[in-house]
Amino acid sequence: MTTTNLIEARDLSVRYGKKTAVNGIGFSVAKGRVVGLLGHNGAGKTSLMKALVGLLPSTGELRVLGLDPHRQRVELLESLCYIPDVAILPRWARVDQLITIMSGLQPRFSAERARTLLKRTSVGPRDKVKTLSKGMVVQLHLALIAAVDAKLMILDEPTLGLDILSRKSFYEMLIDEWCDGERSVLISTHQVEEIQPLLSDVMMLNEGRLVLSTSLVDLDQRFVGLSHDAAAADQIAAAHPLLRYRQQGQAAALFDGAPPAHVEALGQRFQPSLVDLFVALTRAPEMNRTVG
Amino acid sequence: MSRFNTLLLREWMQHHRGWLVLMLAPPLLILLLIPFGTVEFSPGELGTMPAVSLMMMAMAAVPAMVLGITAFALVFQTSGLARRDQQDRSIEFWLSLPTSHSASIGATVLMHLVLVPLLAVAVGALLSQFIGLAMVWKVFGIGAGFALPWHELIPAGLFGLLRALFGVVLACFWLMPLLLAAMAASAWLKRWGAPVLAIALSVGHKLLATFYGITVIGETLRGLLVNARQAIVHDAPPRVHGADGAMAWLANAPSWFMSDGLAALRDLGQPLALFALLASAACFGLLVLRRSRNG
Repeated sequence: MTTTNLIEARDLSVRYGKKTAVNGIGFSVAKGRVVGLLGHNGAGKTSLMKALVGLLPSTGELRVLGLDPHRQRVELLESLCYIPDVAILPRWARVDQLITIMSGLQPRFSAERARTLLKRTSVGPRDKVKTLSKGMVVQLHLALIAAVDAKLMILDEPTLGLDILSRKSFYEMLIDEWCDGERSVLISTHQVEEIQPLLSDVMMLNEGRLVLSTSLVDLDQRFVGLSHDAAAADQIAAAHPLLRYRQQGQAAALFDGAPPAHVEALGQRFQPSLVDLFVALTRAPEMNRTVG
Repeated sequence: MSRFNTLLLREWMQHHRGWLVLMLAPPLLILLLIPFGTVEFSPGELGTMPAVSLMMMAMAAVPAMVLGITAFALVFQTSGLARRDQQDRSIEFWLSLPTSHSASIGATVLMHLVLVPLLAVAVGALLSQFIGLAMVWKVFGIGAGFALPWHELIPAGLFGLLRALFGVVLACFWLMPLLLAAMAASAWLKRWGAPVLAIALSVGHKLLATFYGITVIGETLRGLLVNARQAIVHDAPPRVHGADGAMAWLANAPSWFMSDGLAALRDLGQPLALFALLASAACFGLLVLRRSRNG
């Protein structure tokens, strides 16, 4: 396995007891990428992320920052930031106490930078976590994590349950204060439309299997949307699109690759959104067939 | 600051208020009650006890009281420590930081089960001076406080404090298998852990003793508790009568404390100590394993 990529996985499987949460997937994440990890609830996103940070054992080959996550968890977490999906900062702690704790536990943490980042928020240094709103707690957590001089950040549904303003503030801080072209972020979320502009790459998990792993540039070239009249529906269906759905009141179809010329002539080509693609690639086939 | 020290600091940040209330409230209450309380002492009511004996009594009783109250509270908290971070849902945050599972658990155990009892003894010893003086002033007058034989009391007090601190460490060693077993049971069986452990030990002892005449469980538990008690005070101190007797004992106190401490240390040279060590290590291992599976 090469070490130029920050993450390299081959034939990676993660099991929870008898359940296989991630099933033999392979992917890599290079420097300076912002990768979205998309999948339905139970698709295996959290299990994959926990395996990446060494909190769950895995089989297959997995190197994160050149390290074995499970065997070298402590060493790995020195160069990797992780916000878990159920991240609850200790409610008893004050903000300045958390900064003290982070300073002592995380060798790459800069207390000064954390204080600077917190000045951008409404969180004060003497505030107790239990007095903060959920959005403020997430902002605080990101400020603490973003003050770590790490190479890779893994965020598991970091904005779950936040209102749109809090989500916007979170992503602004992430992109403005942490991403520098060298560091990479792997972020899982259900808010696909919101993070699409931030992403350079996307991975989609469906029932533990990786159904897509590509850059957004390649994605735009590879997948084609075709809006068409209802009268052409049968001919479009005969060309076996990935998904047929309605968009802005008009029938549409999504193809992996350019559709045949005679089919393309039946409608108007457009760039499908990540949401449409997500639905197309992760929807159960029997449901897909019912889309008319 | 090393990571382990930071983990200890985290324990202090989270729990110091409760600990300080436990340690400071009872002696401060006593201190307040002495001058303003309605209970009146007079030399006659205390029999023939001289001022020096009253001071010695305070120096022994107050640290014992503070240690007793603190230890009582800690024993009840111990089993809950294993699942503390799960219960306040911060476990994922702690697991996301670069610290080993053994260091995280080790810091919790060291702070709650060793350092806090040591602090309780130290706080008790400090406050015992004020309480002792206040009692002497109350009963014998202010002049009696200045007339106390401080050149004898101070060395005796210091040796007594060192003996108590050493005794607490040894007592922790003897009690550690029970405390860590309660934590491990709680970590694996949640709220049923401590009851299941207590029932398993008592029923196991009863069945083995009744049907096979084997009393190893009961004897082991009794042995751990007896050794823990003897770790603090191995041999009963001699009874002191009158001011002369108290002065004589004070002069001899440093050597008595040293010999009593050595006797407690010698108790480690028995197979039960090896059992305590191995059982503690096994329970600690179970705690680490449980934490590593929280991912």
